[in-house]
Amino acid sequence: MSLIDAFAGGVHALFSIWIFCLMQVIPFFVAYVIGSTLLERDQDPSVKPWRSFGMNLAMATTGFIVVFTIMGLSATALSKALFAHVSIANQFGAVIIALLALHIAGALTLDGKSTAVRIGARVSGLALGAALALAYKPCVTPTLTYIYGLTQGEQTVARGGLLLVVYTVGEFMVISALAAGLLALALKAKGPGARKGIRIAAAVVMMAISVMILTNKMTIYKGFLVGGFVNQPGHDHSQMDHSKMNHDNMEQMDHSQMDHGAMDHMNHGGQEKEK
Amino acid sequence: MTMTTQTTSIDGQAGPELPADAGSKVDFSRKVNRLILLAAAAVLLNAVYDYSARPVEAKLLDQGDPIPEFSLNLLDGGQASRQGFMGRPMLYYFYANWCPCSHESVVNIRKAVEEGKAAGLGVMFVGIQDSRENLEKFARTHKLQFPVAVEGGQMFSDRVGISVTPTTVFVDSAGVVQSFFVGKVERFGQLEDGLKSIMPQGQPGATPSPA
Repeated sequence: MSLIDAFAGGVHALFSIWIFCLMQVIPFFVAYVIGSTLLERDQDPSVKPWRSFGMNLAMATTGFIVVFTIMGLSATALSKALFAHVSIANQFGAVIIALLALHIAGALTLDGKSTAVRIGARVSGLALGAALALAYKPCVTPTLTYIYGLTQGEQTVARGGLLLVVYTVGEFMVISALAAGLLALALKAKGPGARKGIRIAAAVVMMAISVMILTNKMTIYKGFLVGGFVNQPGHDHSQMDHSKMNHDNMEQMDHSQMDHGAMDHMNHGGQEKEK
Repeated sequence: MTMTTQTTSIDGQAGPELPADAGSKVDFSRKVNRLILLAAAAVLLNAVYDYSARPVEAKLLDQGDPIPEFSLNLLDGGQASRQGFMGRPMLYYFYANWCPCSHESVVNIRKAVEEGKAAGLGVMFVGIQDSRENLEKFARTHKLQFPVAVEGGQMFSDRVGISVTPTTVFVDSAGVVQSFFVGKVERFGQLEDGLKSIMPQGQPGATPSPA
């Protein structure tokens, strides 16, 4: 698999049924990026909103990619260490999300003039992205299946890690475009009152995931909302199960061009065998 | 006449003059901040306490590790434990109803079990990250005739090191993990290496016929 395949796989995930799996991330990520950008504008009208948006987006995306990639590098000691403590890390992440939500809503105030506070607020985007990555339990797409096959093996983990980064960048390219579109709409809101309303709405969305993580109720969200979309009438899994699946159809479900002969030997320890 | 008050920012510099009631607003805001931070600290302390008292240690298993003890409640009302599956090669298929790839892999898991039946290959569907109702729905959708764990799967998956669905774990008759397959099983061939690693040599099913 090339880097382009991995990137395309990430982009494609947003235009397929897997977008519903990504609903574990999208609303909360977008809420943070828009909310924090509007907050900065309200705190200091001289702030250029799109510059602020770019910074918030870059920080949150970086935080997500770093943690999601470490979690995926199952052949490494770092991944094993993180997995061993993921439950407590998740709880810390949820508290960070809640604090950021309250800050965006205006309930938790910081002195925005202080350089230290400004840097802290900016870096908090990294923590937000990391917290969302800890909570994200993906449904493993075919492209991701191939990549995880590489990350399991000591010989191939570096290559797998690179592909995983590029795959996630592909996903976040689309999510970022979505966030930019929504921010453009939000910036049309007249006056600080309307903007504050949007900020509060964003904070409520963020508080929702924080509470779900803290109370271990993400299953409810995934099961009823995400599962509700996945199991819509017309998406008959039982028929899919009993039919002889057409390989060409599966190729259409995932646009990456892969060497299936070699791929069949992947994902059992990541040893990529010669055909 | 409007009353004003002098403010001071966090870095000690004099701030702008504000209306008199702004002082009480600042005080109120500080109290709210303290309250929020105290609440956050309390939640974190509770999380640390829960973590230190947790009954199960999460661990990413490697090839060669024994499958850990488990206690699972099955769809049919029975219970399953590791002991009950010792002595036969096993596939543990971790799934969630909300995950489309979990659904779409079932056809190949079923085929693997049918191919390996003569060699005693068993399978356990282990539901995770979903409600019991949805995990049962998954079993009904696919008319599964295999053991399906609808409770206890999350604890088991934490001990095996599984955080994504679907994941297939290949365990040999000695209860030793031989291989993992993480992700959607698009083709039966993707399971072959895993099956070979757990099937007794020369047994039917050791080299299943291609799809």
